[in-house]
Amino acid sequence: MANNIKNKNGFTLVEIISFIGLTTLLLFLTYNILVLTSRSSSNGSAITESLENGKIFLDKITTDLQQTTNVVTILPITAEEKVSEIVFQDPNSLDVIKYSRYYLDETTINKQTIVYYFPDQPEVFVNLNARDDEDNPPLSLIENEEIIANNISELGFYGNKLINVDLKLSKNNKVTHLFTSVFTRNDQ
Amino acid sequence: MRYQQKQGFILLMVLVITTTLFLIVTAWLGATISKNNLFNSQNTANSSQYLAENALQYTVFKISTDEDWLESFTTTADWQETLDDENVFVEGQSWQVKIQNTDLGQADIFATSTVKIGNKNYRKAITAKITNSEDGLIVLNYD
Repeated sequence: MANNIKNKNGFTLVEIISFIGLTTLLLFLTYNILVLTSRSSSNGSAITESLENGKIFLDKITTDLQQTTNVVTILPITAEEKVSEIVFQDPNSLDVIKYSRYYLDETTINKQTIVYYFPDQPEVFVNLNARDDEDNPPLSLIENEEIIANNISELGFYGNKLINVDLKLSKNNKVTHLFTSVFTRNDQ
Repeated sequence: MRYQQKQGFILLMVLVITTTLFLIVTAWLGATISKNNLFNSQNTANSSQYLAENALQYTVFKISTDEDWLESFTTTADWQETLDDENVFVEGQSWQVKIQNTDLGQADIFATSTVKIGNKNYRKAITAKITNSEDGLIVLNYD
């Protein structure tokens, strides 16, 4: 009777242990694979987001540098001495003289629009190299400041006439490196 | 006989679960690998695009600043020249440019960039036209 019940109902201890063991092993393996693939996917998304960020900045500065006729910052020739900011005359401002300054602020690239004026004529914007009758330089005013790109770990400008822009973006410890060059009509 | 038929149940169940999990994980892995390939392609496409644009910008710079080039560009209707650069910005990146005059002061530029990743070479080709404008500036127009 006892033998009959044992055989017809339930599972043997070996069966249950085997089932639990195999299932645990499978779940463990599956979980690890899912975590790995999820991390990999997340890294890929981070790279894509960084790339988009960098592209927006590079497209913007490329257009500006191609059109400007006055790059104020004296840039080093070699990449080893590259600088992390650039100032040039804003090519989009036709009626008044304005300057654009792109610079790295910790992990963001900011753009400032700066105007220069003499105190006695604050409504007249002048060249930043202008001097008044007493040889005083003009005062500066930051008219606008905006964040152009974030997740930036390095920004560098170098080169004369052919300006090289070297950009490193990082997110989730994934680093993306972008470069471009711009031939500028710098008349100065 | 009845016992034997029931004893294979656990094995069957484990096999079904194993197969199901295997299929799910395989599908997931496949999707992730495809996604990663897509990310890498985007990354490489961007790098090679900027590299090719660098080649075009360098060509304009060369014509604008090299007197011999400028003279040939503006005075020889069938002038053509090639340029190349290796290890641009980082090792493994290179570009080649061919300039072909179509008229005096007008040329087609063909730029090809190569980004080497591992054993694979990724290439991007772009074309543009340059003209010598009336005010003496070399103007680049993308096709």
